[in-house]
Amino acid sequence: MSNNPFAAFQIEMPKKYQDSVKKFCKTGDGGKDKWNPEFTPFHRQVDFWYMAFLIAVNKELEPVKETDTYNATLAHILSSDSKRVDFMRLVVLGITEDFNILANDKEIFNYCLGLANAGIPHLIQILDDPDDRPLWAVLGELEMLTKKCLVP
Amino acid sequence: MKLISAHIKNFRLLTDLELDFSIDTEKPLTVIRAANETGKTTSETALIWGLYGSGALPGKGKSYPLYPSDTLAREERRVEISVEIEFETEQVVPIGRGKQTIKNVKYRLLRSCTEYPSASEYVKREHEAICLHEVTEKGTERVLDSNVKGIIENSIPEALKDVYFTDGDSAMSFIEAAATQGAKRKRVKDAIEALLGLKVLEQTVKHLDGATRRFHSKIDNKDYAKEFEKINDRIDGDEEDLKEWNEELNNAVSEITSGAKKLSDVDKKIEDILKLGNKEKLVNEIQKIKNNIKREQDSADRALKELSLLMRNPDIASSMIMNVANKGLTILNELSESRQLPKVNIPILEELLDRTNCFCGADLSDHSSDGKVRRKLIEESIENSRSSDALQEAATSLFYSVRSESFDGSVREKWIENYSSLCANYEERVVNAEHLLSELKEKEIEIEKINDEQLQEFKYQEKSLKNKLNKARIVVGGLETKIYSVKDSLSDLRIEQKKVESKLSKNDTSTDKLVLTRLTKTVFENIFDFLRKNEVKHVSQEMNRIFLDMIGADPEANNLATITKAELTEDFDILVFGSNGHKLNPDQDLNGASRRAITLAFILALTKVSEVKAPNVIDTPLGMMSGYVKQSVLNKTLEEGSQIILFLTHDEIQGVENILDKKAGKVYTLTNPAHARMLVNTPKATNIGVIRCECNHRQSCEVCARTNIDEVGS
Repeated sequence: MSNNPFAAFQIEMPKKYQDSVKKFCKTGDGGKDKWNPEFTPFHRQVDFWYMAFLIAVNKELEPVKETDTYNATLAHILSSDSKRVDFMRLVVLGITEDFNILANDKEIFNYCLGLANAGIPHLIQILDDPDDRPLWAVLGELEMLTKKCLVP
Repeated sequence: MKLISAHIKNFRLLTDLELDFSIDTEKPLTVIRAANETGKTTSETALIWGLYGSGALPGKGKSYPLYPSDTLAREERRVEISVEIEFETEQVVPIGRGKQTIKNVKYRLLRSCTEYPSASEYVKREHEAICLHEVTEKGTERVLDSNVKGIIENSIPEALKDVYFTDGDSAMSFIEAAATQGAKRKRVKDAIEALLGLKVLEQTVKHLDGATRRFHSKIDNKDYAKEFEKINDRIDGDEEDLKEWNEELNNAVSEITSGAKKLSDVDKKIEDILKLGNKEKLVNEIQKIKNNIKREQDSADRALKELSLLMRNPDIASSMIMNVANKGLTILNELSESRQLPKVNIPILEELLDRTNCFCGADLSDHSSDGKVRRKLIEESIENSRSSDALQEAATSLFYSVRSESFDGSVREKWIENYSSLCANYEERVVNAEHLLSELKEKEIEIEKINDEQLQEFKYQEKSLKNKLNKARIVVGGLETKIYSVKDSLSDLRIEQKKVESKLSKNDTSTDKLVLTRLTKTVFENIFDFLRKNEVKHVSQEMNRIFLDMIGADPEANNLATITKAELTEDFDILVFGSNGHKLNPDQDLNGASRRAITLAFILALTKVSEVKAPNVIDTPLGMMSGYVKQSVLNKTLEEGSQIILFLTHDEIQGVENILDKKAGKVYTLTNPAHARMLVNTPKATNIGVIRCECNHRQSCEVCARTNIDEVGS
């Protein structure tokens, strides 16, 4: 487990997406019956949030500030997946190109929250694909998004 | 899509009626024999409500009560209404990365609601809820609520409900004389638009109009005190329902537990009998197949879980952030190369304070005045370095954590390899499980052929227990949905309660939104027009072909044919032409049978063009027909449709019995006990409610025997 400077912060997500987010998470409403990952591809809300963050970075979206939010979970949970915290810091350094930001953990975390806010509607749109089940829709999209990065 | 069965409860005349439909491809016809006022149209409406909800009822169901009329007389406070439909539909099912297969998936749908009988013109209908279960070999699996609508739409789109669920009489409205030319055109136009899903476009245009109007909305002047009281009443009612349904849910869950135990006991008994009957080999084979199925299905489940974990794999994260991460890494590398990482001052300065002499030899003693001055300078430097050191430390730790990471195509390749291998594993498991299920079915057929009364009795019990278990699971699903919905409604009501208290009002006057709605509307109108014209042509050709076949006209072979062509014009007129292109007026120059034939031909053409394989449920299609045309219309309808469900009166059946003998997979009769004077025997029923008996088109029993069939059927 890596050192997590964000451990004390809260992962907040816009209230307007709360139902959709929970629908696709095992620990949300999506897991109330027998768990079927095809329809509920994410284990926890933090996994959904991190994926939204990655999509925003990949699609070069601008961070979005949201005021009406709910506390999904403590950012302490980010430490349970290696590299997530380091990648978040590296991404903010890469986007802002501001070396000094590395000393301000709260600012980095808020920047990531904004990016995830921007990515959430995109992720919901992928998952809501009427022609495919959520797991296959999101895996297919990841394959495509990462392919795009390889184009010089 | 094929309808398998329906169970209708407390829906108008139908207090408890089970319908089942033929799914035999050789005998695709189901005939439900019923006299007038015996629930033919109501059955059709119940199926429509079951699939699409109150929005699909006449007048959106607002003044269309569903409860049986005698519940009002009996002063029942509330009535629980439900329609359960079992159907199978072809569905594209994913079996791996980008791979799909077409499979017949069986579903059970349950729609329910509560109504409060009253003499008011408007119906109080609450807690309308729908739940859908996929019926598999393993049992039933609840479909996510958000996917229910999509599955129904893919099977039989709501826009086409009037085409697939038709009433012979109202179908005539496309050409009937009583209607004005404008009204007829509108009906045809509506059907075509529904066929193409153009209604959605039209509704979007209407929605845009509505949005425009809302921008100008004014503050309302409601009586908030009254409103507040109403909300409180509704909250009380909801809380009562919640309590009741929670109790029902607990009961249903216990029923499932005891049912599962009984099923396992019966399975054991079947096994014992088979062993006694020297069928041990068959038992072992079945057990082996069942174990293998379970193993394959468990492996498929595990593969799916592993696939979902792929999204947490750091390789996908590296691939997703590749470009930005490389920028960040470049910054850190440059700092490292310029020897700024690690660059930390405080530990060195602190070490100096522990010494009496500097590295250069200068005095640092705190006893000499020079030493004291130097020590003070060092302490000041430590304070000044704190913030820059924190930054250096953060950068250094990040640098050492990520410097060996690759943010290039290789990590993506690694991830894709992993993804492909998991998909291949999943696909293999799914395919294996499917093969094993077919093998198991074959073995089950072998058992069914064994001539042992006790065995067959246990097999029957097994089937019925499985059915009961599935039903109980659906009841649980339905209750959970209702509980979820009532909780939702309670939370909305509480928000409303607060809103009413603070008497909020809103308005929005954004001119940008107005301009946008107008532009969007124009785009939609243009698309709408283009699609409509193209599809009209296609429907016209199909209608002509089917109609001429139905009435036995062959203008190419016979110059004397009185009817040579039928056409649907761009203005949505249905035209019929006689010899030499002479135009005939369908509602004046055609006899009753041909008029009904052209409307049915129009409907069948619509279903053909829509390319949706779904049942045609038709109420009284053969009225006013006789002889060749009657038989030909029925044969043609069977030829064009994939599953035909007909509600026929006794009169309609006369003359087509032989076709029914050959093509009907299921025939049964409905009787309304309220028709006491028309029935041979006095009905035993005390409540209203249509009764089903198994009499086919050639039989009658003490329930359905009628005193004067000619009179009743006409």
